[in-house]
Amino acid sequence: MAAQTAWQSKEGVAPEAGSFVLAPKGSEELQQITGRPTTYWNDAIRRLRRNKLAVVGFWIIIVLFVVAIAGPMVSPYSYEEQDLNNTFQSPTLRHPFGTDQLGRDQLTRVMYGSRISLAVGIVCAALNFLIGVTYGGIAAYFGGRVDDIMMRIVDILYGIPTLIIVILLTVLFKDKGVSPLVNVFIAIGLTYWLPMARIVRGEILSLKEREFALAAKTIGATNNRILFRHLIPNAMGPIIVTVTLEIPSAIFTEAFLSYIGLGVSAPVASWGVLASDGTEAIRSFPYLVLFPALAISLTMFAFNFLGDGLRDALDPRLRQ
Amino acid sequence: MLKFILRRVLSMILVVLIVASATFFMMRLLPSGPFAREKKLPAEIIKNLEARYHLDDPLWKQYVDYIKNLLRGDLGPSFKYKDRTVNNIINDGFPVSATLGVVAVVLAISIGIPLGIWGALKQNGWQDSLVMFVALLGVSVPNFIMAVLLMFIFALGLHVLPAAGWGSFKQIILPAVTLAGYPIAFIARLVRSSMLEVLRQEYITTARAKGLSERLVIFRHALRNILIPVVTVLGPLIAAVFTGSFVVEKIFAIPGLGRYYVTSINDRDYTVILGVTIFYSALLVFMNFLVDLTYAWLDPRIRYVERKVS
Repeated sequence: MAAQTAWQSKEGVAPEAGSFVLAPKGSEELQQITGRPTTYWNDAIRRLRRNKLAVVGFWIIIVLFVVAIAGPMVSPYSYEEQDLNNTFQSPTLRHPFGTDQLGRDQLTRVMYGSRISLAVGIVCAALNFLIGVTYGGIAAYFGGRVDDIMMRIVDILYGIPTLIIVILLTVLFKDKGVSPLVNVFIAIGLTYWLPMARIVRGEILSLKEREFALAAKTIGATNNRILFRHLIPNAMGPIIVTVTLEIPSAIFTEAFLSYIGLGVSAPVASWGVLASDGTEAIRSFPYLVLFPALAISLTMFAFNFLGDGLRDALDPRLRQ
Repeated sequence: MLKFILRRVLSMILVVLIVASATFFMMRLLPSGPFAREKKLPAEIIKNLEARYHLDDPLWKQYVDYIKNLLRGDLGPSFKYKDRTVNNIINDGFPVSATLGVVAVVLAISIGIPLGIWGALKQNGWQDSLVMFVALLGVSVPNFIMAVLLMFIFALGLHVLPAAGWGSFKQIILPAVTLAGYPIAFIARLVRSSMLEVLRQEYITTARAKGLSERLVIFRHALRNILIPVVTVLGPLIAAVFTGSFVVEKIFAIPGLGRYYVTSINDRDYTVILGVTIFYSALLVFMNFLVDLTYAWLDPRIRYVERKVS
């Protein structure tokens, strides 16, 4: 432990009072003057590892992915298989989470719901990268009038609660006959890139004035190359943090929409649908709402923990 | 200052008009039309209905008429309820939602700020961990889960508060706490981190050096600078309270605007969706404007300086 604190303090981590401990006499540590060489990313990963909550969040997410992929395959039941002789069963060994009003196995349905939630999260993250990063990057890189117009559009969209835009889009696409899940993807994809665009713009605005950007320009790199190979990779820290924190809010939005009856609907088992069905039966069968509620909260917890940890580890502005 | 206000008012009107137009055309794009029911109506009846609501006019004329009426404050009739206008619905629902929203925001501020300060003052102590944990909990538990949870514990379990309904003081508590959950967490986190930053600044050291009591240092010197970031997030938080009301009002059976809005969406009552969307946007844009004014008032450095798009 003593050795660790010694080299940590050399890397610019503010030492706390009392954290200096003499290394034992005659040990190798006394000779060791330099720390291991480290890069930005190694450094970030090390910081992240020290953040227990973030590590817990990371593992919860991994478990979640495993459950989402393997769970429904392993389960002896299917998410839509009804068993009208066994409705509203309390949790037992055969049905660890009980069964719902149509005798469907709640555990299978919750596991199936994690597929939908994670799919929403992944789609949101991907579109955040595709639209948000490109949009913000272009606005900042070209600046001037382009920036003005592009950011004015973002400002206007920002003025309206995201959820209202999502709801309107859902109504629009639902009437166009798009399947509810795709519908939620589209609506979330079209709205959740806004914060990303703003953050990337801010980063690129300052990065593009730096010498390495100028150097790239003087050796004749194209705009495309400078923006996507030089500037955006340097803004990766804040981008990753933003994506990680946008994912839980996308997952929340899907659950919210399904809960109020605008997202996916039965028999598809989204956590929002499960929670909504469970709420109706809350007086007699509270366990039905308990498990989907736990699943949603735990997932959002995990992503928020990880996102917070990543922010502390990656965001240079917060480094002291 | 006057120029700043004028500019902001103009841009507010522009934003609301853009939202109104976009939503208008979106609603008209819907292929099924407002009178598509499960049981198909005879063509003549649909024709009469369309004539009554001027849906047989050319689109541009409908649009011009709608905007004209909008400028006079008239949001048109509801398609679903024959004798009700959108204005009626807003008049009925908004006072309820506003009461709930104000209580929630007041709760959020009066709990969130002290919580954040407490956490910062006891940095790295158990109190701090507790505050951060509560804050993450508040951000992570979705509002509809929180609503169900609170209802289950306090209404169905302990029987101390009513499970649903509107009218008495006791009935406000659970929905207001649900709505305040996210903002409390958000404000507490924000206050904690900005407090930590402020406490490290030199003017605080100066204040301490001249022998001020800790209480004066915190409340006189530090607090003012903490309020600025809190004020800047009030806009988005108010938006969160609005949208939260959609589901909270449904769960607690409260006759507010959020519930009407969700009902109108499920009913495909287009004029109500359109009108209430415009109303919400206008309200939010106006709130953001008030927030900006407060912001300028709190921090003299940003007064008169035109805010660059950021």
